[in-house]
Amino acid sequence: MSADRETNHDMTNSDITLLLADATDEVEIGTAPYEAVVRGGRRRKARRWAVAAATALVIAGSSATLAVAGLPGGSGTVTPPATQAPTATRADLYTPQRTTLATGVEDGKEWRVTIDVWATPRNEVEAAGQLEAMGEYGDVPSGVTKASELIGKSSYVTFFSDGDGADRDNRRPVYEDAFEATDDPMKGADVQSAAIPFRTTNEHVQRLVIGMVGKDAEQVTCTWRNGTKTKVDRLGTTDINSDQPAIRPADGSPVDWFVCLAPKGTGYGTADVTAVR
Amino acid sequence: MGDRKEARDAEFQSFVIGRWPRLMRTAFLLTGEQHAAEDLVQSTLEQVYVAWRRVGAADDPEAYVRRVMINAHARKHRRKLREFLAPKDDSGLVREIADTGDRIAQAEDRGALLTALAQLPPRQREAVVLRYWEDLTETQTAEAMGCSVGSVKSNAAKGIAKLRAIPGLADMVTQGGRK
Repeated sequence: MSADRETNHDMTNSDITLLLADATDEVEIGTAPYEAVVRGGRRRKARRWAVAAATALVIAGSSATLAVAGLPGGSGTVTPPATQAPTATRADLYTPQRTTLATGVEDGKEWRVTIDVWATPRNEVEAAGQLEAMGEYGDVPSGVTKASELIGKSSYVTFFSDGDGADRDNRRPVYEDAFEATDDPMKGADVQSAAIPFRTTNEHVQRLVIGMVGKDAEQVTCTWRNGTKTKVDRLGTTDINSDQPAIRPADGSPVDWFVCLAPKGTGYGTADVTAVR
Repeated sequence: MGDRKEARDAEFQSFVIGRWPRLMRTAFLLTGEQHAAEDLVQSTLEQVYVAWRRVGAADDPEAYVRRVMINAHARKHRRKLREFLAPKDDSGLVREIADTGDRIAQAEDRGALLTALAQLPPRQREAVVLRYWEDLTETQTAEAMGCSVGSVKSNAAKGIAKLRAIPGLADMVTQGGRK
């Protein structure tokens, strides 16, 4: 223990120090659960900014605003705050690059998974403008409270949405994080994935898997809890409209993405890269 | 993912194994309960794992870990503190000074101290543990608690005053009950 370098009142409270030290003898130290810590850490990493259901409702509300403000492919663009002095183009920093990662139909209802990738703000002013723009898009990362936390990071959010075309923007954030220049590049068997219930109500099994892999991954195999498997192969970027699950690139993303949907009645087991270039 | 990642994993493993005992003791004083302490330390280290690339390279990873632990404690254990450490008998803090050579009596003394700690408001408890168990400076304690030095002084002084109100506390020390 270090000596108190600011005050010497510990001399008069050294008995308290002794008492506290003695009290710690009550605790059983045990062996450090390193493996459990790493498992828990990986789960946190995968879900670092995962959004709770209650938050999702709030963000879905923001998304309704988004439909008015305009989306890529829509009728307008989000206007960044007038006070900022951006050093990059507004389109780079204040509009996310949106890519559809998967689409499908179940029980007559269309569903899709999309990703928004935001360019990296380099300073406080750019970050402040981006945070405000994120608010209009419903993309504010749930762990971020200050604009400065965005600096040097390329934030991304994956969304699940279902319903007919009119409800397409009724979406739930699924998986949020940020790319950083210092990230180790994903390659080979590297995979990171998260699973959520497919439908928002009355379904507790995690059927929808969204994951990221390296650019050299050719095939991902999702193994479900009942032992069945779904193989996801890399398709060309021109096949984006296909309902077939595939490994796809996303605009602005340094990694590629895949989406697996488990058959009804089973759920997420594992997701592994089973073929590489 | 490469040698850098393997090296970081090895560093983290070494950090976890090396710091676990000390963190457990601190967490025990903060939570007052074995399982709560284990949960707090594990949760803290999981968060450290997520940020290890940055934390491991920092000058003072210990400061980051303390900050995470205090935040986690404040968030998760503050409201539960009293129920964790509620006196298990009717005697509360008023108990006779027992034979300090008796291991059972010694355990009861520890219990009295832990119970008294539990009675402290969380910020006073954190200040006392960090100042007098971790032996941090007031500045270091303020950084860990995310507050001013003045607030640390105030909380620590109030906490100590309440602990000194434990009947027989002085005797626990002077009669050799605490080695």
